[in-house]
Amino acid sequence: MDNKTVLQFQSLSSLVDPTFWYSLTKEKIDNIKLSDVPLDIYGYYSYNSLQSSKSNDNIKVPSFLQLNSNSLTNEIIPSFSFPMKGLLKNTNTIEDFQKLDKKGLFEKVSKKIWDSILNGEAIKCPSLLNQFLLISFSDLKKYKYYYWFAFPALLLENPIYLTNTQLLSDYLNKNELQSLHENYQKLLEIPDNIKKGIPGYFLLKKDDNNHVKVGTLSEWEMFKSDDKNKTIVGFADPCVLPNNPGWLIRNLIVLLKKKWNVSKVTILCYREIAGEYADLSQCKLMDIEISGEELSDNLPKSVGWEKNIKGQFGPRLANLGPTMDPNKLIESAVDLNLKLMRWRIMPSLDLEKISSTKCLLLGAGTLGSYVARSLMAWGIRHITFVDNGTISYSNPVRQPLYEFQDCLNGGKPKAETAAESLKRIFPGIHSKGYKFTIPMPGHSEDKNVIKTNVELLEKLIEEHDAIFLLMDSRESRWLPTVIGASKGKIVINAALGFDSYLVMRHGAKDIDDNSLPTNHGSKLGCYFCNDIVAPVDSLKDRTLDQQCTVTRPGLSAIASANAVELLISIINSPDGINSKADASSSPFEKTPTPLGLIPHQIRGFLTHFNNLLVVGQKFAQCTACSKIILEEYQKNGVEFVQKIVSTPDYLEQLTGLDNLHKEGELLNCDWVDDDDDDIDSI
Amino acid sequence: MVHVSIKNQYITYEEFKEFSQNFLRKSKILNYQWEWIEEPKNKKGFLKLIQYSEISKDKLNRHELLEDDDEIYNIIINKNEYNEIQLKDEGVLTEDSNDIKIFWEWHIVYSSVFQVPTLFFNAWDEEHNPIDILNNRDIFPIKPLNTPIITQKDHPILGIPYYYIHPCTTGQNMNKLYNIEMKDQLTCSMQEVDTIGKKENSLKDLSNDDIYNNYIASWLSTTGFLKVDIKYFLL
Ligand SMILES: [Zn+2]
Repeated sequence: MDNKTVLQFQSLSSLVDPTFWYSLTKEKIDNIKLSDVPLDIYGYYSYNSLQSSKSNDNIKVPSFLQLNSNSLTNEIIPSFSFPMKGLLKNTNTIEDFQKLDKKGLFEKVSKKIWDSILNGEAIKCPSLLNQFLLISFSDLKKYKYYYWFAFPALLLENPIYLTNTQLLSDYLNKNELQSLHENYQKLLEIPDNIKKGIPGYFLLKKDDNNHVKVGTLSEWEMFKSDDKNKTIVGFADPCVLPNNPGWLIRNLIVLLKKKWNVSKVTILCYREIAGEYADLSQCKLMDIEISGEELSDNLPKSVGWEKNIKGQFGPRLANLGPTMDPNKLIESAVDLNLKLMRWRIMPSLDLEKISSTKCLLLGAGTLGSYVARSLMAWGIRHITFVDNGTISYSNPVRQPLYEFQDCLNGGKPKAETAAESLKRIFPGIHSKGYKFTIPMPGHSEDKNVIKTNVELLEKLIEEHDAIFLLMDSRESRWLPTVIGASKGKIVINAALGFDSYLVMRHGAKDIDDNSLPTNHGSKLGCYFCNDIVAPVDSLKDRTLDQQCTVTRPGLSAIASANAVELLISIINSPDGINSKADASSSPFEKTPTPLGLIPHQIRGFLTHFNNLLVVGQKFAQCTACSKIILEEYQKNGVEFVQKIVSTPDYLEQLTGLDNLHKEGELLNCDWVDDDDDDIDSI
Repeated sequence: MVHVSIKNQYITYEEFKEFSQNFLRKSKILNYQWEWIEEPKNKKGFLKLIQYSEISKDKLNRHELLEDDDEIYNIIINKNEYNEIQLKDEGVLTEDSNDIKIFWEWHIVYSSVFQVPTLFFNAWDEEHNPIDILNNRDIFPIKPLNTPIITQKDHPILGIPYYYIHPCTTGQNMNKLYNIEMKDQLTCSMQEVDTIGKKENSLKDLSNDDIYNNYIASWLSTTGFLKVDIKYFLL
């Protein structure tokens, strides 16, 4: 190489092992606390950067300054590495980080380096040339660390020129290389040498007896006095590029200029590949020119801020939440469990869609408790409860979200307590509880209260994707059925008898397309389609799902689990709410979707440990989901509901049910009394 | 002492630990930076290696930078002073930054269920943001010939999620590797073997103890994710 080119140095990059942040966090909590006095820390760089290249020929590790758990104490220096002393300025708030006098701190470190050159300390302890700056803000609550490194390099007025590059193995013969390596090892073995960084910057010179002398910077004059062969300045180089030395020689070059006014010198980029036999084949010699006048004592300018991952000057961010934050750990564990199901059994499982489904649970009793727990197990993160009750002494043993303590002093409100309970079980859940009474036909109530509650319920249904009807009275299901149908939400209904239960999905909005099969999702009925009476105040003890109904204790968990699994099947089906309703089939038959059948209604009989799948179509005169009711509701909203509350018969007038009754052809029916065949034919 | 029976390559934790020490001793000589990490709480340890690779940004699927949706970060990064913080200096080498540096953390962990070593790993970028391996199955530094089942699982010792290679066939592989004639099996399992001229002699000399001294290296070669230096078997 004849042409001289400007010598360019490869920047040093930082690599912070999480163990550094762990130990800083611990130190901060135990000792440092709120003090933000700068701390001395130690980083390490390796001259054995090529070690990994052996395990893969194409890979070369670039220059890294590494911090790890030893960086606060410097007790253990990793093998093949030298320490670099750093100044850590950690702030307690983000505002303090913002306000930090970054240029001032940078200059402070530059000045330390310059002073060590002026007073000659750097000759005795060359690691002083490598001092660096680390500024950080640790968000200990979120385990997030905002940090920025600077590796100040003092600047000369003129550029440094590269005049020649040569492999060390072309300059030294085999014996000389061996001699160099042996003498270098001796330098490494002297106690404290590594801590001072002495083998990081050294001198070498060959003599004519196949021998290479290795010495420290303090021996400069002695080396220079023997001018038979050139004095070479070596430095442990983490860089692996062919024509560029690493960043860490920059301050040494300034030292050479300032102390000894060196203008031409050969440098050795010492790049050893350690191992069975030391391999020096990657070592490079570079002849450089340091032009310009002698340096004054004034602090030179300096550069060395590290760029972030986007390639800009600015802080970096390490987020250790996923590995340190217990809240994050439980979240990932929940997801992991579900992903295993996808990986092992069902690749088509759309976990993202499932977990992002927002669920509104109307009723926070036995059904509400079990439904919430099963939803959480499916990774659903958003569960809202509505219930107007308080927790009574009979609740905790049957309703797994409550405990004895919740019953004391008149009992806590159910909805809020259920939400709190979910958060205790899994902090990643978004859960809220609302205590109010859902307006019901025949349950007269103040008009303003009705208005507030209708509007609140409308808002809640609007904000959620799936609505569970889990109340203990039939009439309270009416309004959410109307609103749910009107807004096209998935509505899942569960009702309990003593030893039988009903779980069903409400049909989707009618599409008015006669070509669709009768079991198409839009053709399916709602909870009220099967009754031929309007919901009224149920003092007559007509239905099974009323207050104080006694049920076999296991029934609720079974029905709730079925309700949740039905929802999951709907969500995971490409047709969603419009999925066709499947009828019962043999467990050995193939199912239309990987998760299985998507029924309309599941009727369970605990007496026989048996389930029946039933398909029921929309009833044109339904008091909840028929066209006329929905139109009326959409037109008159709150007023319509107010009217229904005070005069429930109006429902029957609207739908024409009253005429049917008059004809006397149909009697009071209740789902549990019906034969399956009858339902299908209604 | 090695207690492994010739007919069964399932090992105990104590044997795993012993084999690991052998592996570490050779790794040190060969300059492979495997370490033994022991958790003080349960006194169980595992082998760890950090490996480095680079990949072009556009080859990585959905590598969303965490910074992008971190509120605090967005506050502190949008400062004009940063643009002027560094002086111009022609001595700085400007490098092509279209690559993402990836750090691979490989762990060899004993599985008490399968009674064989299992390979756990994670991949990080420079700032320790995790790389989503399941959406980036092509970025391994070495691609195994047969892609094994990779899933995520809580690390049995560290208790945090890592990717891992399911060990269901490891026992059988190890049986195959050992039961049939030693040298043939080793040749099959390691591609590099051909390049070493003196392999025949060296392998013939292996005594039974030596064979098990190389248990970890042999096992590692069956995973296909890390190149196993033939010198492990020659030392
Ligand atoms: Zn209906």
